[in-house]
Amino acid sequence: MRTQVLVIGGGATGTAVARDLALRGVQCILVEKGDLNSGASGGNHGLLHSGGRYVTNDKEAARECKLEGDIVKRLMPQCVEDTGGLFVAVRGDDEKFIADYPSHCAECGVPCEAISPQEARELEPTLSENVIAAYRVEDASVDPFKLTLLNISQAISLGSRRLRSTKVIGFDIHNKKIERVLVRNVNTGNEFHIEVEQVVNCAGAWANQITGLAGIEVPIQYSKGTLLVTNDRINYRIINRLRKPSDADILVPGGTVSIIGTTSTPVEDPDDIYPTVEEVDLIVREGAVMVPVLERSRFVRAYCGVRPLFGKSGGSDGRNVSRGFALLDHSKENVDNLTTITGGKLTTFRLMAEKTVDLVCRKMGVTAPCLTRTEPLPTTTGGQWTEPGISPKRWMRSHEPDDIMICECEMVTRRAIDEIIESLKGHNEKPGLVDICMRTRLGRGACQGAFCGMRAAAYLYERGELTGREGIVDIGKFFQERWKGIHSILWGDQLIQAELMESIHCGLFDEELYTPSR
Amino acid sequence: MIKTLLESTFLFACLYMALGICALGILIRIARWFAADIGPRSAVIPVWMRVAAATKGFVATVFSLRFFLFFKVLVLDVMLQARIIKTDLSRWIMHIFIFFGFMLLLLMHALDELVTKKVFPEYYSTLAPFQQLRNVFGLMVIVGVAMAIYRRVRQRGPMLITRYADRYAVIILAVIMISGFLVEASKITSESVFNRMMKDFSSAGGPADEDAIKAFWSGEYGTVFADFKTPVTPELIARGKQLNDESCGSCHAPTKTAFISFPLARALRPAAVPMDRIQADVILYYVHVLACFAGLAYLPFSKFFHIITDPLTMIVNGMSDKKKVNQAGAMPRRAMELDACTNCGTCSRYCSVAPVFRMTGNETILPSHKIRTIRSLSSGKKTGADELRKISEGAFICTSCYRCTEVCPTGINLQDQWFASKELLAEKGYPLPHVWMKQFNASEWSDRIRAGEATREKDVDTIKGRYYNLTADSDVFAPCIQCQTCTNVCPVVAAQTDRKDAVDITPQKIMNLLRLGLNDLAMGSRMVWDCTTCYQCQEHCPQGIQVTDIIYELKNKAYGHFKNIDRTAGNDS
Amino acid sequence: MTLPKSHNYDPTHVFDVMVIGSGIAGMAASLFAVNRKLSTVQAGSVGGTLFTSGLFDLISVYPVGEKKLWENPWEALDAMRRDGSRHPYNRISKEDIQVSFDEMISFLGASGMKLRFDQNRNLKVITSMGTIKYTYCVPDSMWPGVEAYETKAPCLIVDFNGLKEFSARQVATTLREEWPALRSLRVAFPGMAGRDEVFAAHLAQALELSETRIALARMVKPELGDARFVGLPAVLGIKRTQTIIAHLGRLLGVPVFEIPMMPASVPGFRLKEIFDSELPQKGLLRLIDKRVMSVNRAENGNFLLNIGGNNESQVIQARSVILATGRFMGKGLLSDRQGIFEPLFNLPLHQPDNRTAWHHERFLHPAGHPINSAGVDVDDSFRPVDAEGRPIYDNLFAAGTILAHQDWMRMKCGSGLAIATAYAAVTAFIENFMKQSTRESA
Repeated sequence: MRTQVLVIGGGATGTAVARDLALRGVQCILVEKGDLNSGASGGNHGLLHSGGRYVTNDKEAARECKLEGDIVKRLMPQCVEDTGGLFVAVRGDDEKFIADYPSHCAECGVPCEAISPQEARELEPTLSENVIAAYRVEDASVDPFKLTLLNISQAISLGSRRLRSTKVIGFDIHNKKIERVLVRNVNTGNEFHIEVEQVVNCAGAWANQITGLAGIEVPIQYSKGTLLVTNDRINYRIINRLRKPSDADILVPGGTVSIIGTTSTPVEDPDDIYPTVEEVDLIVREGAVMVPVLERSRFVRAYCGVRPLFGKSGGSDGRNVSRGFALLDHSKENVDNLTTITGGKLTTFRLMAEKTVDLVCRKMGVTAPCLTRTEPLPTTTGGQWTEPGISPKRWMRSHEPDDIMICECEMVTRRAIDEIIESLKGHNEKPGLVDICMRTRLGRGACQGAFCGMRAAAYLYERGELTGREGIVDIGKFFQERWKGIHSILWGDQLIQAELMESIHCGLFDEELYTPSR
Repeated sequence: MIKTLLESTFLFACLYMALGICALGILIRIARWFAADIGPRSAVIPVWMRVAAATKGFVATVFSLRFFLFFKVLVLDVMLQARIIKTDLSRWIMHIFIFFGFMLLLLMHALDELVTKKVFPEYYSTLAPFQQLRNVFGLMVIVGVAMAIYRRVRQRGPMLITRYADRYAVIILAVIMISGFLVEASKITSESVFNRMMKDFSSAGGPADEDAIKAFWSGEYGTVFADFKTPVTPELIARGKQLNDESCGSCHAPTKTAFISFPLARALRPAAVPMDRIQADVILYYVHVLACFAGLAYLPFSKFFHIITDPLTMIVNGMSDKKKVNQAGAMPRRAMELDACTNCGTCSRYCSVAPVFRMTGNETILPSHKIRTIRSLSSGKKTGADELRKISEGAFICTSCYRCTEVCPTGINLQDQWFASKELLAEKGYPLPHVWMKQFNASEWSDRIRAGEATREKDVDTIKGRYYNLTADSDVFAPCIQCQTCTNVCPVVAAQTDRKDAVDITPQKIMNLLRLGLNDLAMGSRMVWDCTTCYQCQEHCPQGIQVTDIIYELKNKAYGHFKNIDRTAGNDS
Repeated sequence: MTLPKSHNYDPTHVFDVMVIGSGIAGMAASLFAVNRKLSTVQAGSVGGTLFTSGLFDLISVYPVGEKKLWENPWEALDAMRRDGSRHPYNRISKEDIQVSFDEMISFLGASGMKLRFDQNRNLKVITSMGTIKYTYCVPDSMWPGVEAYETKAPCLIVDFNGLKEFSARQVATTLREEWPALRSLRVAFPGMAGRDEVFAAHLAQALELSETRIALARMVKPELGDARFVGLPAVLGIKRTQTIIAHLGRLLGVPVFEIPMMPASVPGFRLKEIFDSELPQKGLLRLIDKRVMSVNRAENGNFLLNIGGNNESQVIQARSVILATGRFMGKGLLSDRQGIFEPLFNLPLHQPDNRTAWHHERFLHPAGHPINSAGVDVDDSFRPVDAEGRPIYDNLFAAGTILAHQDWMRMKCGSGLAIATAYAAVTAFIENFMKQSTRESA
């Protein structure tokens, strides 16, 4: 197997790089050791920053967010819900900060409009009575899953390839160039080489693991952020806390739910992260100061993502375009065709990709200009099933006979599942419940898989995708995947739901006796 | 009286003209019953078939055991008006007074030559007891009319509609009665009538005797003399009485016994002489008689037509089974019933859903208004969408509880009228909501909300402040644990057969649509509209979710959105 | 069914026992109380019995962490006793546990639900997940399945198109390795061929009609092959299960059995039916679907319970209360971020110090989740106790899964716990109260 460019990492950055390259006529193979959006791109707030959060502490980033946000809204509207946002302060918050805020925004070119607390509460009835100041900004809600999927879909339609479950395990370096990359399929164990001209390291928090394979050290610190998803949507638009950035500052609506977060906890290992009970309590407490109903809300899921923070102490710099992200040209470390892009935030993903591809194309002598500033992102099938509410809307309009619902909570039907299965098999991958869950909303609703897991397993057996005891093992994995997201929020109605789940799957079906003890 | 009438060719002609118009009018109206299409057009049959069905029905009833019901209906319902007493004692009294007062006056007084004279050969209008009775009956009518006016004035508002026909009826009766009393009073005071009588009947010897009678009559019997100078002494009066007993007594009871007219005559004393000069008694007589003729002629076109239609309705319906309607004969019967309705408002007073009127302001919910819309619906004129919507609301809010039909004093088969009009409304594009909601699926309905074809939620005039607004309060449906108990106990889900109609039909799916914020989609779903409100789901829900109440609220919200859509397009109204 | 006299009860009447809870523990406590002629009233929101599977567990796994399965449940009880476990079973003698089961089984049998068991053996039942569940008592309707599995006889599993939770193919292929003679068949349920989805309770109702059974048998019989048993999802009727099974067995010529499945559970509906109709006839005042909103104590120590729901409320006076309100699903225990609490009597609860210790990070962690062993601590008379071990009220008893130191979902002891502890609570009440001559009984 050979390619011009090997892109490592299937998050927002990696897929955007693949798209940008493809639009400039450069083919690539994108390898991802897990599934798309396994890293930070799959564990963020879904927020397209207006820049308002950074006007006091990182003006460069604030400007970037404003410009990039506008581009994303214009060229990728199908991934964006342009809700607008508010910054609100409550009694006890820093008054000077509040007063200075508009001027900071003006400095960065971030639009900001002062409104009265009453107006704010009219716009957002769930705001606390203690709100003392409010500003309107241009925040928007974005679906990161759809973003990634549509980016890579366009790249693939232009000739690129994507390999899931494929982990980079070694570089063959001769004459300061990586000639071949050794990869392993984590499911089958199969190892093979890919011949490359350029390698782009978009592995986010794992970037230093990749550079380590070339003997290069890149200082990255990991910061875990936990977020909570509510049972139903609380707010119409983004609500930010008007103070120096801190915990549980932002409540973002996304489709049919709201997401409150976040925290910032240093961790050692980006693979071993888990939302904790302490974080959850902190988020609920702090968030409830802005939006009191959070104290009583039912949360359906807690999840976390790792922020890669590029440490400035030591190490090579490469071309650091902004303090937000780090673009590293490793020719300084005698590996000419390796480029790393890390750090940054979701909002600026396109810009990060543009800068990276500019560098890579310069190295390759490709002069085609960047088109992602002007080309709209096309919608392809495959990205659709992640959108909340799309499955029921489609089904209610009309559906084929036998297109029965597998997941009732989110109304995911067998047709959606059939499509996912076909697509996975098309990539020579064995369809499992976890994969289906990633690509649809199966198990993301109230029951968190207790009922739909059973139905989906039954269906997979019917289709012959599962035989023997595979279903029991698979459903165990599926539940564990869901459990990760609810373990820290099990009180009130969610605890009742968990008890029901355990009473069925353990109390009746004895499934725990069939899964291996680790 | 008729003697005088017969002597006047003019009056005679008027009488026969009035009779003729009356008879013609009655015939025309009866004929119209067979031509009117009261009910669904699908049930329309040729006129001759209706006549045949009616005749057949008539013959069949007469020659069956049911015929004996006729006497029960005649005595209890028609004569004694027992149906009114069931619901309203004071109204019964009012109507008995008017009915019996008028009928007895008609028989005893107006038709005295034909009726009373035959039974009592010695009858004379001024003899006892006829004079008293005449006043009694007249008083009955007046009291009854006064009660009627009082009721109409006291009970205003939507339950009781008072139209010009009602006022006309009261006015004509009042005119007849009052003019009648005035005639009698004026006759009592009239000197010229006295003189005529003296000339014809008196056996008085000379002027002294004349004076005696005059004194007596003026003192005791109310006559007013313009120029009576003779001093009145007890001896004169005694002589007058003696003479009166000889010559007048055989025909004249003391006028005092005319206990209304006599005091009235006394009250007229000051005006008596000028009245006599202009022959007021004759004028008043003409007024009285002509008023009667006018009433007679106008009878078939006025409220008094109910004198014919109500007994007919009572007899026809009283002798048939109201719950088994003979379709062929139904339309003429319904038309007859529409003519029998007297707008008494009893049906509305007893209507189970009448309180809804107070909330929505739509008066067609009330049966007494509804029955009038039936006529306009069936008239063949095009009814506007707005009007049809109002009428259809009145129709589907009705629960068919049968109360109105039970209490209608006229015995109208209201239940059948409502069923027929509902079918007719369906033909015009306005069936019950859960039927017209089926023309689109949930998705299409939600498109209509978004396209603005339906009213925006904010403009929807919900019953202000009375909604709990369950569908917007996530605390209500968020606790759902997806156990499917509600769906399993739902008899509607159990009974579904048609796959096409089975789209989106489980209570669990409705809860999930709300959780997903897709309330618009939920509103038009089959589950919501086929729900029978049996409450099984709500009672079995382990989390105590108000499933049924939520579905019910969705129905109301959906109706609020969609009620103003014009559904007449494509239907020839 | 005649209307129970209960509807005209005298509001000043003092009941011997108020049972709070509509699950198996509540049902058992009501049964034991009325059988002993105690004047009994019962209330609780709907739902408890609806989630039962039809199987009655005694105990199958101990210790949970080792996932040790027991062929003989009584030996498991012995082991628990030897280990000094604080499980509520250890407060009851084995004889009493046996007696309580016998009484319950005999009541259910007389009410049309025959249960089978083998004295010293757990029975192995196949589930719709394809797993094998160990349980103690099995309804008659599921018994042939136990035989079929034991002998690994040729067997046909049938499922219905549209019953999404049950796949015969899943059951057959999951068990194929140890049971090669297991086959699967899918049919369209008679009369419901046009439907995308069907639901268990409706199928059960349809099967109460003999024409449905005849049509079903007609579809299955040609596919029988050498099968000596036929397994169906647990939808074989609600009121006439015995008739249905017998009829189908005759039509097909082989025994027919049910396979337990996910909620909504038809066997659970059957149990509820029996609860609703049979116990009131024995004299229980059953306040169906009414909840106890609050409790006060009278001066003489009796409890005054405010019963509500549906905008009415009434006050019941009872000499004792048996609290069988279940755990979180039953709302016997409530939780917030700070901890769990018992809402009616505010009883102190045995629970982990804080929420971080409630659950493991692995859902199927072998040791089970500590919060599931939280609950009400009791003494040997099954009275809730305070930190010093003294009963909080001498006339308040607790039974069922609300009790602490048991993880019914992992030990598979839910129904046994409910029945045995209900029995113990009722007998404790009689011991402590009815023997005293100063108090009159009804």
